[in-house]
Amino acid sequence: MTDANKATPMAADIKKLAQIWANLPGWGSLAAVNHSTIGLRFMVTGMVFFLIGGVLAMLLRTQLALPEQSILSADTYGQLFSMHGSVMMFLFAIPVLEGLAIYLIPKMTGSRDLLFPRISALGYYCYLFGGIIIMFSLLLGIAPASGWFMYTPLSSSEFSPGPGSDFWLLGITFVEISAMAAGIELTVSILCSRAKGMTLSRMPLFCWYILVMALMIVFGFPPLILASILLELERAAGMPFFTVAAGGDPLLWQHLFWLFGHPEVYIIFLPAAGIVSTLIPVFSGRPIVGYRWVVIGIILTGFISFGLWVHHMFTVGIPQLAQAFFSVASMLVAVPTAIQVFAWLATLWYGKVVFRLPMLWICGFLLIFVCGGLTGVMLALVPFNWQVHDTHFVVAHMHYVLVGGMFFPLIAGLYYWLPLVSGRMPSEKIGRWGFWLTFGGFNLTFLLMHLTGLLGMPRRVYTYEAGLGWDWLNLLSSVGSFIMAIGVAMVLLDLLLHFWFGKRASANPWQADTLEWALDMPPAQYNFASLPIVTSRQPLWHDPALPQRIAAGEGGMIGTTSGRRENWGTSAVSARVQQTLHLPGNSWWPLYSALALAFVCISLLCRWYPLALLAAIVALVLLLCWSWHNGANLQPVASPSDAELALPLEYQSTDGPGRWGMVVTLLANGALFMALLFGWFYLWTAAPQWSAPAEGPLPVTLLLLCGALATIALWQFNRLSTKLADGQDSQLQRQLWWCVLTGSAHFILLLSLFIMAPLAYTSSAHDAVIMVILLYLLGHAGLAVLLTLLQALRVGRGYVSKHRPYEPQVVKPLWFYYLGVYWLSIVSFFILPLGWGQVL
Amino acid sequence: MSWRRWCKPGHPAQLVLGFSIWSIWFIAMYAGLSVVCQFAAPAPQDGAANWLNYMLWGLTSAVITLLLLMAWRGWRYCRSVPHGNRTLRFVGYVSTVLYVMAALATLLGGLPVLVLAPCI
Repeated sequence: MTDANKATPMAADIKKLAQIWANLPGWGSLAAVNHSTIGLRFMVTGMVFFLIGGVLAMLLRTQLALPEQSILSADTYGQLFSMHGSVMMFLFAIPVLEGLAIYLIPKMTGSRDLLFPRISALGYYCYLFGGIIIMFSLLLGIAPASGWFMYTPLSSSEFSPGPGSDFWLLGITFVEISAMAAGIELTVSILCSRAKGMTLSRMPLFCWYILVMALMIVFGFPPLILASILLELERAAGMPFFTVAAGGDPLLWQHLFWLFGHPEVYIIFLPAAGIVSTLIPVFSGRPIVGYRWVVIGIILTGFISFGLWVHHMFTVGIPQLAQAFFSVASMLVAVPTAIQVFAWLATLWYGKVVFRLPMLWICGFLLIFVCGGLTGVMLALVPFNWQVHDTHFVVAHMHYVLVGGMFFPLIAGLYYWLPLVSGRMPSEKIGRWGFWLTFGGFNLTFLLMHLTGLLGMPRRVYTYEAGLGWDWLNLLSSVGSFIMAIGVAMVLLDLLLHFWFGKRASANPWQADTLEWALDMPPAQYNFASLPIVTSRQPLWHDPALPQRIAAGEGGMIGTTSGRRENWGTSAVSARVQQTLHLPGNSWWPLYSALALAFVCISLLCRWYPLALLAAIVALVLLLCWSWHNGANLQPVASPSDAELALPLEYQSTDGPGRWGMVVTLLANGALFMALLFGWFYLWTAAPQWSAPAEGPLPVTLLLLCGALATIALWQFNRLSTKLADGQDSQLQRQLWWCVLTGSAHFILLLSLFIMAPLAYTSSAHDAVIMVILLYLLGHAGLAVLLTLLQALRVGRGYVSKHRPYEPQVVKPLWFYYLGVYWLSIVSFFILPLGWGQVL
Repeated sequence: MSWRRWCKPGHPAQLVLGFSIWSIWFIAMYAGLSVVCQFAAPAPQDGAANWLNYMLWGLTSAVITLLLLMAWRGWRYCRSVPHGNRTLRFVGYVSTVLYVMAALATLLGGLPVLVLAPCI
């Protein structure tokens, strides 16, 4: 692409790019989907929620500063600490880091945007609306008060009769749509759209961290989504999943919550560690030591962090051998973390370190996080864990890990990338004051809290008696928290003021090595005038003139004549250019869909169920309309820059990001199904009063017949899509209609079985689970039939043909997935209990 | 067949296969232990020497052997890839180390079976 034949992009090309990629003016900016805009919105909104969470923390520390105070009542204190944890975890930590990743990943990987930009916009609006709904409960004085972990039975309707728990369950589930959207989109974007030549072994470490984090979201969030749905069903419809008397078990909530909750800590830590792995080499002036070992450490962390959840439950009565498994796994997770810490230290040791402002925060991170990690290993030891369980020691450990492991690197990253966003430099002086006040205040608050915990002070108490030895420790902790608050305020002030008073930044002000610094500051909406070609792990160190060459049009995909947003699609491992992607532009669909979903959420909160059903139908229609308009274009225009490479457009091929997106979505869906399966077997084997009817609730023969119909439908769909991929489209529409017919017959039979099933779902946990799995299967069958129906219609309109064979290849994995979960469900929920009923 | 490609050393799926096996082993150990303890718990006076622990240790040994074999296969592959092909060498090297790590994690996780009674 660097040959002299390639035209230098003219001003007209740049102007056209700018027009195509621009956000709409005024209110139209609400329809923006560009990753820079959405990423910044995530971060700004997250910082607002951080301020709210911080104010709540100040109130808590004011109450605890002295013994026997009554500034806050017990109930208000319960609401505030529950909201502090929930806001910081769900509305600040994850969204801000997702926002950073959404903003940076395309810039670092040499792309113009993420691959599903409208999904980004939907994710943002779900986050915003969900956050507002949750915060509203605080304003109304009816916030959840059962802790950020919402343990049952405390959060059940018997002990939390108000709507507080409902706000949490519905609001957080709504916000999690946003996390899932980001997880899926980041995974596919990193794998399918990198700069030409950016092989896996040349990918910036930050991208490795985000890739693993995104996959952890995909697998880690569904258990909590399921748990929230089950608890809300228990509270709203009386389905007793967590009620012992009806065969449920409150410990099931703990298992499902911590199946999410512990990976969550690493979901927060990994992007922050990615910031550290990016900054340390830059400020050391040399590549990171042990790139491959760091990648190994990242992958290890991703896996092992899923095997630790029971260490949050060591005191609930689990056999010692099971405790030993989880204890060992909890200690093992220190190994990959240590690999990374040693790589960072070695890089600092061998480099010439320049202690600019971001490096201060990195040093603070290293100190605090290592201490937090060490207390984590202490907590992994069962006897010690028993001693300090539910004390302030755990609170101190958690803050050392989360503030040290996430907040300090985040601020380092914000300072580092600030010049890229604004084109200006922050104030070193205010920034250093901010750092030292935050660092000192943090340690004063939480180092002492370890002692408070060791002296026996339980967490979550709103006050304490004088003379227990906790008085001075609590007072100093509170003083420290206010010092920390002043430090954070100075940092935020610095970040804000620099937009007006900061010095103009020079090009690549930190002498960094990654591609985002090849961009203008602030970057254009299309990022790169021509797409970069990478030949090294440190492209800007290897080729300092790269920014000028990109701007001069010596990269790929110069300008555009298709009139659409274009990007390269590349292979996952070797980053070979495979296709041209047409990315969707500004759209109101995400906002409208999120509004409809918010209406569903509010209607459920108010128990207006008919309205909720109506809003859900509207949301479904909007999403289907969106999918209709998002598909193939009937009049594709070949981009001249790609004509010489003969690149197919995405929808002219049989594989592409949409298909990857479907597969990753189904992985998340599979995680939810597996969590449900876990819940079923858990209740079956561990619930103290589990009871199952002697005979299954549904006739197995009819279920088998139903399954046969689904199998035929899949066979039909697979056959037609395979033929289409081979270039045969005769009778395509007819075959799709047959598939719709068979799928509909399956759906109707399953629906009839569901309606006729004698399920006592309010008095038996067994029947309640059966009801949920039947609804799950019905939902998926309906969706598969509906999407096939749309495909049949789209064949009629010319959107799908042998020249455009892509869309059925995207739908096909859904059919395979559905058939798999159908048969697995039939065996696990209906056939296995028949054989085991007598034994168990 | 794409599945055969996935199983070849050097395929990126190898990066996650080792710890996927570890995850399945982990689930099997925890679930197996929980179910057996609920319905057919060995006598506590037998201590660690009972049929359940033997089975769990057998499973652990089999998984360790499998993972070490995969690591050995990956190592041989790494040595056969030309030096110029950095991407394949990278994937091969990283996945080999991950197999060894997974084998170590399995060994460490399984060791308590040798000393602790299962259902107490």
